[in-house]
Amino acid sequence: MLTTYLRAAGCDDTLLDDVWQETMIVAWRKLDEFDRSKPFGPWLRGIAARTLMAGRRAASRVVLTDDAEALEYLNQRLERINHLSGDTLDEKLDALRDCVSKLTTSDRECIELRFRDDLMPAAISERVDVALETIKKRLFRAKQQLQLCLERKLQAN
Amino acid sequence: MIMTLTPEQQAELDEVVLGSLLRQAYAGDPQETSRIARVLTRLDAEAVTATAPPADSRRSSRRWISVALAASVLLMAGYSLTYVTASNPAYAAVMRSLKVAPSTRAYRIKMVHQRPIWGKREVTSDLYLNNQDQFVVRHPGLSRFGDVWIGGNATSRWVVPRFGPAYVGGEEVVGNWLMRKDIPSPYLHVSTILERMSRAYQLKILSNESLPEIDSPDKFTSCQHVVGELRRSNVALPAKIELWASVETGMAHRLELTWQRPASERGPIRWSIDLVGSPELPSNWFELEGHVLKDRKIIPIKSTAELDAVENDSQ
Repeated sequence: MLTTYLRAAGCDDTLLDDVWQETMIVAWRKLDEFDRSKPFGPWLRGIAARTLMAGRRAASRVVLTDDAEALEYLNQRLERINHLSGDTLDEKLDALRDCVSKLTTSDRECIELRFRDDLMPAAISERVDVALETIKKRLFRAKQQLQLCLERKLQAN
Repeated sequence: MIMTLTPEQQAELDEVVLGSLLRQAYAGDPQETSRIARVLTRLDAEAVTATAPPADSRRSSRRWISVALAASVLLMAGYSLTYVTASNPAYAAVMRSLKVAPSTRAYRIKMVHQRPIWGKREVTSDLYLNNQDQFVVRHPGLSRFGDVWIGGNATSRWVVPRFGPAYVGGEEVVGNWLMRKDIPSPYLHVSTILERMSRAYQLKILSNESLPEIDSPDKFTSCQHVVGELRRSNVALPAKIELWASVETGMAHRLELTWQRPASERGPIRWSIDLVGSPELPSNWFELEGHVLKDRKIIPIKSTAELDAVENDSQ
């Protein structure tokens, strides 16, 4: 979940590596301070957020009025994901995979090319030979449907 | 924190989270293993350089502790076991059990030993552990010696026989005394078993199982089930060690040790160690003083030769 959090905060691979490592080292040093009656994930993400802010390296994508607030919002969103059924993050993500499987074929293809193959919309447009605007609309619609589907699953838990 | 994010900003962040989850769902994190390795290497280096050059065993111990701590951090972080330690989730479960524990735990140990001609004999003893790496065992003894109390930590031991003086000494010398009295002692530490398990055994993780709590059989604890098989044949070590550790806390709830020993050899063939609970114990329970009367003679033993001399004097 920490990796997901750092990615959501806008870290590229290099920054993610640095912050992830620093977070783990700090967590190891401060393990005695951790209140075992509370969940561990938010505590760890709190360390990651402080690491990000201390280095003034808050992600470029999260350009908001208050980075701390944005990071806390991300933290809360991920903590909700943590309540999905499943012992592992991978099992929890089955809920999202199920949502993807319910998309139309063309929307699912766009999502796969964007997030599995890491292609930008223009590259997807070239790959499937469909107008860029159409690709953007498909991605927008697919993400909206995935948000709604995931939200339903979260509420059902 | 009071949120002042606009709905548009929240929607933007929601989209970012969704994208991150999708990437995770499709590809996982192929760099995770190497990232963990780098953290462990750094912690290991810090553990060694933060102190004066220690003896090899001490250095090894520190290294072990740092690795165990780091692994527990990673596991507690809530990453999936398969995700964090993709190459060996079973190892991770064992490491987690090493670290996570309440202040005091009591275990019941059932030991089945075999002797040529005499056959099998089952003995039940009680094991108490605390977070300071101390332990106490109440052992009924296998012969005429009755209850024996054994205690100590990872490196030193004390033993209080039913009669005669109590002995204090290193692990080896007290281990020798116990062996002479036909009292098994090699696995007094649950952590020792777990540590051995992580080093000398090929581990695999099986499906979770629910174990009934010994004192409340109507209650169940969901446990990870890890099986370790000895990498190299060695009759002195259990051929198989099984661990059931709480999914929720990581604490060891049950351990089973099985030896592959020819019927003609004497020694342990099966041990089961079950968590009984977390009892409240007297403050000196883990000290020798908690198990001897004031006038009891206490003999420090520094070597096996001294042990021989003491034994000869008492005969």
